[in-house]
Order: sequence, then structure tokens, then C-alpha cells
Amino acid sequence: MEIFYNYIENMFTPLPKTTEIEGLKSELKLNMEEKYNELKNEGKSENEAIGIVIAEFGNIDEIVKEFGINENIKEEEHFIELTLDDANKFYNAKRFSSFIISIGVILCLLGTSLSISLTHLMDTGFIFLEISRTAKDFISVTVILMFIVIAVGLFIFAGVKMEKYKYIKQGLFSISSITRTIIKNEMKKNEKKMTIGLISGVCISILSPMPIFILNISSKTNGETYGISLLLILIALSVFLFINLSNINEGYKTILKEGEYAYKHQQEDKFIKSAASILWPIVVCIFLILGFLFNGWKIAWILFPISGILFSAFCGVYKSISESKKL
Amino acid sequence: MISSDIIRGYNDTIILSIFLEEDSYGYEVSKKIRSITNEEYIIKETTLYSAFNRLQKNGYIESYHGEETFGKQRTYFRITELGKKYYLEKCEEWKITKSVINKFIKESD
Repeated sequence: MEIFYNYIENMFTPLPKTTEIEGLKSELKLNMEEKYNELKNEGKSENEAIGIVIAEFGNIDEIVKEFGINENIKEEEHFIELTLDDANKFYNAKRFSSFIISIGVILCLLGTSLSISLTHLMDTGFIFLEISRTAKDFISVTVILMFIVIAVGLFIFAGVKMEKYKYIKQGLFSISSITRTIIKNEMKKNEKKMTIGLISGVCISILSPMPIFILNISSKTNGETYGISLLLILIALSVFLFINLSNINEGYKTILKEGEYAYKHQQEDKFIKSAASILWPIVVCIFLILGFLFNGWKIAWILFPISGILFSAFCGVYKSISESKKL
Repeated sequence: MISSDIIRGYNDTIILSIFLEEDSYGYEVSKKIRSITNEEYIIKETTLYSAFNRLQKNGYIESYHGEETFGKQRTYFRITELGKKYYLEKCEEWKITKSVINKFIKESD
């Protein structure tokens, strides 16, 4: 059964893969299966049987002592242990704060979108014809600022919520094999949602320039501006999907220290994060300046995809350099 | 449930007594221990297999492949002459240990 296979594999991760050990692992897996089947035949439910088999399994330390292996004392050994309960609390908190952040991002995008449309409506005289130029500019700016203020409030709120889990982000904990197995199981269950979220997010972001083309064809006045507003709304939607669906397992991955959260990657990431936190605000500033001062919204939006691609290239180069430095 | 600390010294003896009756394999041994002690001692898998390894290294039991479970070979064990000798020594040791400890245990009425 897969769950026993995974349980044994996880338990034996700190041990070397010698023929002797692999043979032992094989025996143990067989043993667990036989026990499980007997328990099922006695009338226990699947979960009960699994629980009993795992609970009566024992501690990997006995095996280590017996097979005389010098286990490398990893730094993990000295960290506090994270219980399944804590792990779930962290996961739920992460999902909630991710949700809040996604709302914040949407607000920023919607605010920009609304402001662009309002400005254009005012310029072309559909609304507020009577008020002065200064007042019109004031309205545009106020709209954006209001949305951004609320969004920033939400970001701070989300940040504070996750503050107490900082030690988890930094990797200062260890988890038992049982917790590890259970979490991996949960992650598998979420895979379908993740795929749906990822696919729909990508599709929507690819389709997002459509409104610009459609409005360009159909409308007499320059519909591109409204098209840009619609584009921003679609991007907001795809971001929402990305953050909330395809990132469902981020919380779990942090706990399992998989992939990007693996210990060695954390140093690289710090550098990249600082680079990102400098780059993106600059890009947004340039975008806003081009838009407001030169009314170049139609051109300016291309700044984001370009910066995104260039930044990915930069990250890729940096990572490969640091990899080769290590070797 | 007996604490594994207390019984640690006699795991080998217990397992050897099972093999004295007949050859057996992993899961069957733990099942027998469980039923003979009426569920008072449920030996953990890790303890069991560590003991198998120890007993084999000391030459008290030897392994061979037997019937299949789920298409995989089961490893069976049989006790050796050396193992039988060791078992008898441990039995003597226990008799002495038992009488020593009993001197300090209050008899309940």
C-alpha cells in the first residue's frame, strides 16, 4: 500500500541506502501490509487499521542503534518539534493571509483600472464636464490612493497574522515522520484544485489583452483606454486564482521544506527577494509616471510583462552562477 | 502495556523461545508474542527487527527464504544450537533475577 511505502521511505530518509537497509525496508513494508490486512479482516475500518499499524510501529532510533549507523546530526535535531496541530494552524493561517493579500492586490489593480477609466471619461467629457482641470486630476489620484490605502491596510493585516509563524518560514523546526506522511497525503488531495487554478489563471492572463483589441475594432472613440481597464480587471482575476488556488500547497511545502523551501535554497532566495523588492516598486513608479504625465497607458502596460521576463532571466542567471560556485 | 525499557533485556529471550517451538517470520512472531501474553506485551516492529538483526549477527538464529506474501519472499528464521544454548543461559539468569527482585516486592494479600 502506498501509505506504508511512503511511511517507511520517510522514516528511513536519514539512513544510507545499503542493500542491508533496503532489504530491511522491504521486510518492514511487507510486515505492515500483512498486519493491516489482518486488522481489516477483523473488522477494523481502513483508517483504524492504518492508525494501529503506524502507532505500533516504533521508533527509527532503535534501527539506527542496531545497524550501527552514524547518523549525521543535522541541525534539525536541535529544533523544536512541530505537531500536526501546529502544522494545520500554520496552513490555515497561511491560506487566510494569502486570501487577504490577493484581495489587496485586486484592490490595487481595480483602483488603477477605475482611475484610468474615470480619467478618460472626464477627459472626453462624459462626466463632470463642469469642474476644473485640477479637480479632475484630484479625483483620479484620490480614487487610486483610496484603493491603495485599503490594500496596504490588508497587506499589513496579513503580515501581522503571519508574524508569529516567522520561525516556520525560517525553517527553525522539525517534524516527525508521521506528521510528514500525513501532510504529504493532504497535499496530494489538493492537487486537482491547484491544477484548475493554475490553468484558469494562465488562460485568463493570456486572454487579458483581448478587451483592448475588441474595443479598438468596435468603438469609434479610442476604446483602448477602457480596454486597458478591462485588462487590469482580468489580470486581477488571474492573480486571485494564482494566489488562492495554485498556491494552496505553499503552506504545506514550507513545512515539509520541499522544493524552494529546502534549506540550501533559502540563502539564494534572500538575495533575490531583496532584488525584487527594489525592482518592482521602481517598475510601478515608471509605469505610473508614463501613464499620468505622458498619458501613455497603452504603451506603459507592456512594462510589466517585460520587467517580469527580464527579472526571471536575472534570477535564472543568478541561480546558475550560485549553483556553479558551490560545486 | 509493559514499558519497553523494562523488557529490553529479555526481547531476545522471548523471540528465541518462539523459534524454539517452530521456525517463523517477522509478522507471525509479533502476533504470537501478542497472543501468548494476552495483549500484555505488544512488541514494536522496530524492536522486533532490530532483535532479528542482533540475533543473526550473534549466530543465534539463521535466515532462509520461504513462502511468498504479495509476491515477495518472506524471510524465515530458525534457531541454531548456539541460540538454544544462549536461551537456556538467559532462562537461568531470569530465575536468579526473579528471586532477587521478589525479595523487594511487597506481596499483596
